[in-house]
Amino acid sequence: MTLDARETMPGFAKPFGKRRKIRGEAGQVDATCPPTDTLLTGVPAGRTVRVAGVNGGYRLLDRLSALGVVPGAAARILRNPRCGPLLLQVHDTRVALGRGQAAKVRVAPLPDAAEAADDAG
Amino acid sequence: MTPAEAAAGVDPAVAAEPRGTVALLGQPNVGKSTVFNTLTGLRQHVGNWPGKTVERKEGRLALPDGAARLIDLPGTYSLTAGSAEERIVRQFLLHADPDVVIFLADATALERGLYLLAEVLALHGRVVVGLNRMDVARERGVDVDADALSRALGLPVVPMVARNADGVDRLLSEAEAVRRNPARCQASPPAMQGQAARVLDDLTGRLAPVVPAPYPPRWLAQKLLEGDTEACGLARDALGRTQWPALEAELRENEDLVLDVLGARYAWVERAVRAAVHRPSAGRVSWTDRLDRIATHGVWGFVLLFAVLGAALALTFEIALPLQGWLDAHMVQPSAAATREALAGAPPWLGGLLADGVITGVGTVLTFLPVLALFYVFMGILEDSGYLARVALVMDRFMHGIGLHGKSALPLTLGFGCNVISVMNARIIDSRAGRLMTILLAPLVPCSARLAVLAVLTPAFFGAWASVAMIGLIALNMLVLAGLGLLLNRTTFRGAESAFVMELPLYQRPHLRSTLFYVYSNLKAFVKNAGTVIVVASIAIWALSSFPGPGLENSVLAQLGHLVAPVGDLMGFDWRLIAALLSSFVAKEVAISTLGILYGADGGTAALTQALPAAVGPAAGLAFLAVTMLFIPCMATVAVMRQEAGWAWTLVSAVLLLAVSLLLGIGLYQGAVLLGLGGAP
Repeated sequence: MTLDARETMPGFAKPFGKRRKIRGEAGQVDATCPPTDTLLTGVPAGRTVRVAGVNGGYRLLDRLSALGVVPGAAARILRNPRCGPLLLQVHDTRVALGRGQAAKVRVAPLPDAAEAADDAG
Repeated sequence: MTPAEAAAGVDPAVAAEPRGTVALLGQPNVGKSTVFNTLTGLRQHVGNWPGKTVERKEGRLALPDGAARLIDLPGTYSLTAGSAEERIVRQFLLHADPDVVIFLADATALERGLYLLAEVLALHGRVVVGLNRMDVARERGVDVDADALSRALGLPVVPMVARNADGVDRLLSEAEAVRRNPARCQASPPAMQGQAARVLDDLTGRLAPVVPAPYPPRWLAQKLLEGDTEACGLARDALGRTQWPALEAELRENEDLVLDVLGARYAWVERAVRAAVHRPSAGRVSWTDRLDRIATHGVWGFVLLFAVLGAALALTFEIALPLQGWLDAHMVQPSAAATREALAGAPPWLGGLLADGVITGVGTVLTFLPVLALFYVFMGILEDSGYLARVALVMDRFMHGIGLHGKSALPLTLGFGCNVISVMNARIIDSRAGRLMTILLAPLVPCSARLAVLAVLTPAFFGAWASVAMIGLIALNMLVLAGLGLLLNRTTFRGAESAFVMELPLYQRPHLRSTLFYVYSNLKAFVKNAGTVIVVASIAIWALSSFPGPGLENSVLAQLGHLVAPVGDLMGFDWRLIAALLSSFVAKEVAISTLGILYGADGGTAALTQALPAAVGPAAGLAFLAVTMLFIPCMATVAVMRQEAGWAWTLVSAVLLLAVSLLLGIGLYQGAVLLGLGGAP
């Protein structure tokens, strides 16, 4: 997935008329995102990944944050069917995400298993 | 309690006038209604928030120091003004300024609960935290230390198991203590750092002189960073055209700070969770894991869903509708007959008014009660157990296309039995837009009464082709439903349901007491709101079909039929078909008896099957059936639509259905005539 393709993905209403810049959790602008970033839709069921960022607008960001899907959180993918919503577990919450929304969540592999256990638990 | 009251020996719990307000707040699925019911018992009132289709529950709370009003705020995940529920909650906290907020959190999902708490604390400091479902958390190997959490948050925290009413007394005494001494709450909401803190300070400084009470300037500044549309509107109005552009530019410059706001909130949550939660035995396979392997499976999920839908339909056709028919035949009809007989000596209109107007209306309401109760229990169990959320997950890919929520599949399926049940159960859908869409589309599901009309009339019009016509007409209904769904989704509800982000709650044993409360309060609302409308409509239809008389042939209804005959001509209808259509507003099956009277075939369906083809051609027959299937629903459905969605949306629905049914009726008739299907009998 190239940066351009991500930029043109359908977004949400922007109150200030301009697209939000996309940024990772540590203040990086998207251009410097590590190349290991992938989208949630591309992660097979059974894997645990780290949420790296959200490419959506304020509203999606708010909805996801309220359910615990925030940059840094570990997410275990329970279901990822070819069509239809994904199912993930973040902390102790099971979250169903439409494919359109899941395609806006950037994820990165977890550094090691220890962090996985720490984040999930 | 005032000294005077104390001197008069007034029992504070039953003092007439409750003083003070306590709000109950929490995310969806935390057991809020169980706590509300336990706290207020039957002393509760269910209504709607002003101008909103969001349920408002208020009850009386017996605090040790006098009664208070307890307001059950809608469940929300956050407090950004994205949905009607979120707006209601924060407006209430800001404007009503309750004495105490009882905040309910789920011990099995503490992070999420505390996230909302962080938002609440930015608006309101007097909060008591009820930590519900401690038993489930323990079962799942999670150990939550309420005292440690209390220290970390700076708020009173009460461990609870609401289903067993454990901890409810302590919750009340803590609420009372906070009411008396607000200093018991010493929580500090999340703080920003670095660039975010600087920008926030600057924004707050600019907003503080102009922002009207009761909006806290710092909260408003933070909401601006979060891109909250309502906050933007407020700030724009407060700052005016001269100052807003500069502030807007600053916001645009710092759009990324929303991540810092959310990050600070989660850091605050994590700190509290780390202090209070221990997981001595993580990684246990729970019931939820096991059940979800089936319920969310690509194949087995559907098998399970179809089994549930099948059970719902079986319940409708095997128990609910026969029960309703039995009640009608054995209670309503005999009382009507007895009334007519008793009033034989009185003027005939009096007997008619009581038997055909009042008793028919009241009878409709009463025969609906057991049926509705049955479905509220069924849906209550599905919802309480957590399965309903899985239905949404499994059905989303099919319902999504026409703008419906996955959960809509259930109420709409129930519509095949009765549209009333369908509309009344649309409330299981959490989002307002999804609920409204479901209510608007529900009348297009062919209900059992309309299917009965089809079963009687298709053989009369089409003979050997009856079953083909019947299947075709049902398919037409479903096509119109999908088409209207698409249309509404592209126009009125555009973008409203674009995001599918949903929590799947843990499975749990349904709670009988909560379910019974749910049934009771909903039935009460039905009798009070829909019941009156149904009785009034029934009397009105009786008057229209009896005056000036004598007989239906010389009634206002018949005159109406003559009046709109020009429209009827386009569909091949004579005034009698129009009158039959209008009379079906009482109940769809009434169309058959009206036709019987008007075509002089009052001797049952066999006589009607003989008489109708002689008077009505197949093209007009086809148009009549199509219009009947798509027309404005029966008065009971209209009454519950009003109850659930308000008059305005009910009117929109009526106009839409009228337009769609007439257009299709005209199209079908003209098309059939063109194809040589015979306009004349």
